[in-house]
Amino acid sequence: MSRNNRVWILFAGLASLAIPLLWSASSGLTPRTVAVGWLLLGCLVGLAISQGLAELLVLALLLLPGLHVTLVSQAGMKALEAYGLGARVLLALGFHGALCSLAQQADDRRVRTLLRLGATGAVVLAFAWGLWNRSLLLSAALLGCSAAALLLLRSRKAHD
Amino acid sequence: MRRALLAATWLACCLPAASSQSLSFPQGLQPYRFNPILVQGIASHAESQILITGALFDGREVALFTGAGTPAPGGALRCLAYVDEEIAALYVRIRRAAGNTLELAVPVEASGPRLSVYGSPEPLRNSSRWIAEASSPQQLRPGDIWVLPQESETAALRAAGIHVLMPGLAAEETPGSSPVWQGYRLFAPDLGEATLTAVLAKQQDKLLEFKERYRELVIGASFHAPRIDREAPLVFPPATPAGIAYTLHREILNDSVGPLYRYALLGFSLPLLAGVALMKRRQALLALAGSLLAGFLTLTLLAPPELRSLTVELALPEARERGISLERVSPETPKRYQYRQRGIPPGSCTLVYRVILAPGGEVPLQPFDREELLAFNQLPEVRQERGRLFLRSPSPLSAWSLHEPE
Repeated sequence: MSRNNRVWILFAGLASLAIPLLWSASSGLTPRTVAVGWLLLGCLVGLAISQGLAELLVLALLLLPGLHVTLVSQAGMKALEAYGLGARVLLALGFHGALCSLAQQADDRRVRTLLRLGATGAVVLAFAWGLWNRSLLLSAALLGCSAAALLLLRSRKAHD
Repeated sequence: MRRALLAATWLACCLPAASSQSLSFPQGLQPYRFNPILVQGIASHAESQILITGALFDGREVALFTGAGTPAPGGALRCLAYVDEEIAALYVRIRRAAGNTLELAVPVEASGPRLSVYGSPEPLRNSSRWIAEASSPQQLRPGDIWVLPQESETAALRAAGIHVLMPGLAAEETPGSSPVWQGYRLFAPDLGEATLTAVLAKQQDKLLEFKERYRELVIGASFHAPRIDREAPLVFPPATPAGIAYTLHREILNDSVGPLYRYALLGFSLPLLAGVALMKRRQALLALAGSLLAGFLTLTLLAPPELRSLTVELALPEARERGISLERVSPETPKRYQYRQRGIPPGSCTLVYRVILAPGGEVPLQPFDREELLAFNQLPEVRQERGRLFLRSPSPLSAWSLHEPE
């Protein structure tokens, strides 16, 4: 893991730890606001690090407890409901990671940057509008399709 | 202009003519109370799935009571619904085993404030719409009138905000000469129906203003207060009772991450952050993250849901004076907070403010059901499951209630 990646993951972890412990503003927080906030943090840090599966997994695992504590303590969710929403955030983060990896397949650097930024905005907005609330299966299917497309593209490139 | 809910209908109209289901309200239908609703004619246990909704004036419907598999001894089902002045109509839907649904509708009248009169020697048949006769002293609230046949000890009644009306002639009290919640002394030449009605009509503005002020206190719920330093002693500058309660609510309950979650989060995050900073091998780092996460999940899944509550009790007249000092009284558990004003004089009218935070906004009904007069800052739904009653609300359950001297 590169030094740059470590720094960004440490930043995300510290933010995820500090927000529930230091910010006592429970009355105005809804579960969706909290989830979108954590997803945005994860997506932005995910953009900054050069994405590998291990880095993404560590980032996601590091974000999950802070998200869970904020959902339960400050947004008033039950523990099991909070795990469900946490799982949706993780699936959305994975989908974002897969889209960003797909964007990396483009040859032009400017196109790559634009595609990654577009994917970040699209994932966060779709989450905020409730796409990930419809069905956990749909979220998993989105992630699976994007990952399959990524693997297919990579294998074709390797074959070429 | 505020709308008030007073008494509504006693019987509902049934949609299917052949149906024997009927509704009744054993204690009337009153605003800011949990109103018992009796549904009669429930044939079997399978028919006892019931949903009561309230239609708001803007047309929306909000759930007030849901009960599934509710026991119906003797074919009668007892439900509870909290109503306030926003509710224009109640709909009761009973789902039958066959799949069809029966709907009963109850219109709720909105009107201005109304005063209850108790003790009149003659029935007040021709009285105005703003006067109602009470059948027992327990029905009287601040701003209502107790007719006394002779001069007697009235201090306790007036201290409770109840006006007393006696025979005789006396000079009228000048406004502002008595404390805020002191009931008036009224006099009538005799206690006949016509004289009583005339005396009350003459004092109508003054009496309705008092009643309206009481209603404002109960339903106003405009909580505001300056921030206080948590380390400072709990002595407040001039403030309203609601402001003090709100300050305590914000300062105490909003410190919301409990010790279990705090330590679980630190115990997970700090070792993993150290691992990210120091460990070279990805597999080892992933193994560490996975094991720490498994520990975190186990701990948080096994932890009982946290129910936090705060209760503040304030004497009303003193709350408007110079400064208020609260003392903490024996908490039932470490996570429950109760505060009481120092030296509440016996016989004073008190205001109790209570907020309960619970996961999912669901708490047992009992802490709220006991209150004498109750005002929520939202419409909670009462849910019945296997005989137990719960309150459910999307926001923290805040209630405040006036307690009159016994």
